[in-house]
Amino acid sequence: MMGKLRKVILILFTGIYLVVAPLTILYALGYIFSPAQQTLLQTGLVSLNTEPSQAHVWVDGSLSKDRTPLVLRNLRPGSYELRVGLPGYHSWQKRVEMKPDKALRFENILLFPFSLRAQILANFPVAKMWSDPAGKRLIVLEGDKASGLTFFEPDKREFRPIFLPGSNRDASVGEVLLHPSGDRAVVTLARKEGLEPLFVRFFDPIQVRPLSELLQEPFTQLQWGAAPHRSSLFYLQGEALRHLDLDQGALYLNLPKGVRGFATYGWRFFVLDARRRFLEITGKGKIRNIFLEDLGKVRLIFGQDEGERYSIFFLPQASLFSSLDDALALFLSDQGKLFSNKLPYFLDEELVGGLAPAHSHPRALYRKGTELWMVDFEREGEKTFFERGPTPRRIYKGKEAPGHLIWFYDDRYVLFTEGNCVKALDFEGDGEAIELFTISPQIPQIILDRRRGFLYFVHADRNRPARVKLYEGEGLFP
Amino acid sequence: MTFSYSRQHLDPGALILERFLEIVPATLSWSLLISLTLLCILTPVAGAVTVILFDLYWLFRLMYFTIFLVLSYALLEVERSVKWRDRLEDLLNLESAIARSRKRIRELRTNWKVLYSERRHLATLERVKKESLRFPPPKEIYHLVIIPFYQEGLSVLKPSLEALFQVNYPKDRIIVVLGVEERAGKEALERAETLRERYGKLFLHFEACIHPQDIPGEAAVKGANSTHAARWARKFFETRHIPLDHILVSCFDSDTVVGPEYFACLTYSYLVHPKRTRTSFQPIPVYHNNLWEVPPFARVLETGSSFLQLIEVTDPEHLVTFSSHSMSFQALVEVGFWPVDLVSDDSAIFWKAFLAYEGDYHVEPLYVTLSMDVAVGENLWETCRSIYLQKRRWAGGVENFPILVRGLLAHPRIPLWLKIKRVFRLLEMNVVWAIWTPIMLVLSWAPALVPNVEFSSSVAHFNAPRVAGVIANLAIASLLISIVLSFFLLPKRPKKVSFVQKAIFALQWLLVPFIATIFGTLPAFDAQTRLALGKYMEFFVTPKGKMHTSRRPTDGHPAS
Repeated sequence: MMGKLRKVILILFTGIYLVVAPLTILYALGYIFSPAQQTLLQTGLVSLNTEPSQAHVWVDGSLSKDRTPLVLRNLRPGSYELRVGLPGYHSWQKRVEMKPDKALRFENILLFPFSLRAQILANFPVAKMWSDPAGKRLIVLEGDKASGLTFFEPDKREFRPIFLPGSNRDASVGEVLLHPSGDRAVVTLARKEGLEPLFVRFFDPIQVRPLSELLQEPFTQLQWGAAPHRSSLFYLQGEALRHLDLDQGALYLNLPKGVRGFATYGWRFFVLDARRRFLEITGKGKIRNIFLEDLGKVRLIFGQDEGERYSIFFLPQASLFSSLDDALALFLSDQGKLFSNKLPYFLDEELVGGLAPAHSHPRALYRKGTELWMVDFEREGEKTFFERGPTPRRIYKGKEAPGHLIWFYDDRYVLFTEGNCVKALDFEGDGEAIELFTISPQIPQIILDRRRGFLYFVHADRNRPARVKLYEGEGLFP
Repeated sequence: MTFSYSRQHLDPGALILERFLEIVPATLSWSLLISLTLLCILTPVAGAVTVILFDLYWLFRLMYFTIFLVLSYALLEVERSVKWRDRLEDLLNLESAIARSRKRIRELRTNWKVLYSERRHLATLERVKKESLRFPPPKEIYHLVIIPFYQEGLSVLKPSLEALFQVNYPKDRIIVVLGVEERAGKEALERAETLRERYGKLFLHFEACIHPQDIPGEAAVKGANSTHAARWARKFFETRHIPLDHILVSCFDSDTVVGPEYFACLTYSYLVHPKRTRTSFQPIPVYHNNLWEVPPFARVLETGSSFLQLIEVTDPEHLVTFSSHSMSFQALVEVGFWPVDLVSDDSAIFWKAFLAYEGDYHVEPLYVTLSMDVAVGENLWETCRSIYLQKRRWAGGVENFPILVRGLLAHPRIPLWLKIKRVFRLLEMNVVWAIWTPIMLVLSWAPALVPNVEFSSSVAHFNAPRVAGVIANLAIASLLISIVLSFFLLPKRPKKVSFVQKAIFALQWLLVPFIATIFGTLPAFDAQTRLALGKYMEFFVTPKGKMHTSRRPTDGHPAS
């Protein structure tokens, strides 16, 4: 009897499987049955995630019953108006074009409150601010003397002086260059006798070491090496590149001359030399010509004006499997021309300025007059037979020239100043920048602590240092 | 037709075929897993679709199994309180037994368990009468119990023999043969002697049969020892002129503790079976001897093994003998005893008989349990190792595949459909055994994890893990049923085990994914790969018997 029962149930289950399996596959591929057309229709979906979560979502004006994070499934091909809103916050909206089997992801939507509450951090007026690229450490200058140079400790919420009381009293502060790790800096003091560079390590107590012995010659374009735990400084002495290893206390002079631009990336550094070669130089001083795919084109790019100087930027790798040879470098000339080492080489030739590479995606932002432009290598442009590559696109047009371009929140958003106004722009949104708050018109500077989500600025009220919390989620996008 | 159920002494053609077939299961398992992984990486949509199809197949299989697990457990419950000796008595006078049974059914209106059992008995009596089935009187049936052992101690062997003595069946119809391995040394011989002194006079005959080491053609496997003991028993019966079809042989593991009704139930099932000499009788093995004293994962694992056997017995058409079981001695002699060079003697004897009788050999389930030890070691690591090796030995049953296929090719009279069905089933079982866990636990989610830009912006990227999640939840529902059943199947809770500890047992089922991978997938791949590489396994004696104080001669059932 059991044998017969097994057969009956086996046949039954096989039958159910043969029906359920194709239906499940169709569901997984986004197919629905359209009664009107009496046919199967492949749909698309939208994935939405917001900070803060639990935001309402409207699709073409109708409110979705679920709140964020959510996935809107079974959207037929066509155009949809998406709106995300939360009481007390600016809403986010975007018109999307839905295609069959397409999943549109808007997974880092940051909702900005109507009013951001500024925290005044100290009562002294700020003359200037510096930070490392990730905003881990903030250094501010009160007045112009070295005694007014302090650094901010976020955990203790207090400013501490860098120099001991009484020391360097008469020296004025020239330039401050924070290491990418945020735990060391080079501070240049201007004395009557001349410039005095100092190496500062933010230990407890702070260590200050003069660099005069090592850094005797006049220098330009002082730049830290990118390796996080090494104290490697690079600078130009005329057209010669110098490498100063502060850990070893050594100065390397046998580097290329006729340098038209240099950059550091990971453990290595790169030089664009007078012979239009883009060279990788390893720690052992080994030189190899790299990257540039089409030498003819390279000469065309870099060979037009012998005197042109370049700032070189590296963009994050597009894929986990990318090798160093696949690295994307951008070259911004002092004439405002923007090139890349990959197709399509020529990106923009019209007075580009303020280039800001993104942190974790291969994209960069730049300024052209009162406009913001973006080049995104992740989303390639039109593919043609001859060339493929991104086409720069304008993402914002303002009334004044935007300044202090900062990528944040998984490189989805851009913070910038326009006059004394701080604005945020979602480049995947509808193109409207949100006006967040106003800052001191004398010091229109902003610094973002990316890990903690604090934006530091100089408050319009008596130029005091202040900050606002832009987003939660410590360590979400380090 | 003579067919050698061995990989030895084959002619070159058969040897090449055998080697080729030995490679097939591992190749299939590895290639399925690798190709599916590559599919998930290279064409994630196709990978996701394939994985969904497999997940659904597995879900339906699980639900299907769960239904039969419940039914099988219900049958076990129904037959639990049956007095099988009374039923044997009924066979002596069918007319009056049928009348009595009908009367009992009329009276038993509320106790559904007894009622259902009685109905089954009545149906059997009526069939026997209708078919005019001839069978020897029950008192003329002899039970040969072969217990091969190697280095197992008295603490393992004594409870097994004690349980044999406690059975509700005439002891003067039971012959016990201890298969002692000569290579186990003097200590093993001394143990056998101790046992003979103690149990020698309690049965019709008690023999400690020493299996010499290094017999040409034999491997160090249990089947060789059992065969040696069975050959001795054949002479024993022949000298006493006992017909071979009046003898049932039970080959037990050294830790097998039989229930009191086992031999009566076995005799009844044997006598009423129309093809009794072409049938093996498979009880349900449970691992209750030391269940409360082993680590949680081992408890869950062995409860799962019992469940699998409960499910298997509901499918007599495909049932294959496993672990301790019984069969007609006549069939054993006719097929040439157990294979002496294969590690999986329990299933190999079925396939050997299947080929010898040209497909006309079957397995009849017995709804009684045999209790055995969970493999244990000195410490947790040793226990893991022991269990792993035990599972690898079980998975080593795949060694039957090449011999079976070769045998089927050599037996043209076996119907083609039966050949295909049996081969497919054996291959599918072994391949699925190896690959189901990695597919369900890893590959189901792999398409969503693969960094493929094109796929990550497709609907399938979002929907496939959702489908996998729903399937996983439904599978958990089936698991819940298993958890509930496991409580019913558990042996009586010793006093030192608190109720809370018993409740924690339910939570231990959460270890299933881990257990299934370590003690399911890995041993299966290990065994198949070894076979493919020609590294044949010999018998590994599973260390057992860490505790034996709570052992009792019981069928291991909670209420028994």
